[in-house]
Amino acid sequence: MYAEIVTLTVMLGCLLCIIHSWFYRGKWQTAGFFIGGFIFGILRENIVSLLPGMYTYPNHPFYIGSAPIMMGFGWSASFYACWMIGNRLLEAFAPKWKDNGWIVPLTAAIITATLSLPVEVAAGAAQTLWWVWPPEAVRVLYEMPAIVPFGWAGAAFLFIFFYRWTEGRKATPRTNAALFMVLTLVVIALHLVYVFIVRAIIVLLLA
Amino acid sequence: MIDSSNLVFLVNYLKELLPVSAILLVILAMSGVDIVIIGDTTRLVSVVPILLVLVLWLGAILKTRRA
Repeated sequence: MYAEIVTLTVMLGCLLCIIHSWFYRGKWQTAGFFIGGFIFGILRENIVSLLPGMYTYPNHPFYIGSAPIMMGFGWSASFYACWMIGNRLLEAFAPKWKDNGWIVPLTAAIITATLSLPVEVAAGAAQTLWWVWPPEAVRVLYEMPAIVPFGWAGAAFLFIFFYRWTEGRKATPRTNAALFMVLTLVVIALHLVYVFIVRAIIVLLLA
Repeated sequence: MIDSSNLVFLVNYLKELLPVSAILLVILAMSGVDIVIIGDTTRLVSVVPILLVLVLWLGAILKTRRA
């Protein structure tokens, strides 16, 4: 219920991030990041819908396959906004790390984990049910399962790590953008493997 | 009077705010859902970590500007 709220919020948030990226990073970098993010969101959620023991998305206004269309905007907007904020923090407080290939995505990942909390706490309530977790999920904050912040953080880390790697290649921005869109398939596969490993560890420790 | 260098700084600063605005939008929308739709203000505790990140960001902006 009220899924239009989260859909409009993430679409507007994504638009703000696209404008920022267009100004600061250029059109091909923007296309690579946000089209890659759209592919990541839609394809990943369609794969998730086929897997047992994962969440479902009832009551959304628009779908592509089994994925609500907001997923195509939400993931990339979250990654981008948290990456940009992380860059500012590193520039100010840890300048020697500001271009590090591991620390930059790690900082963005930690910020993305903090962003996951308000979204997931609102999304899982009985009054909203934007997404529904299976009963066996280990819950830690209202209806939010323990895997959530780790899942968001892992996705941000992998996405930004691979994006920065492709961006740093000595090729045209257009070629790099195209390569990254293809690489999102690798990011999806790695992220799903990561989620299943972390979930198993959580079940082992907390269940 | 605003000279061109101040104007450039202002435009750059406003552009800098775009990703932060996206996050603020999410915080406001989700807080509104917690209060109005779910009716449980204790859920607002979930926005505290990301608000702390934004406070750090503000500190970073001020520190960078002073330098």
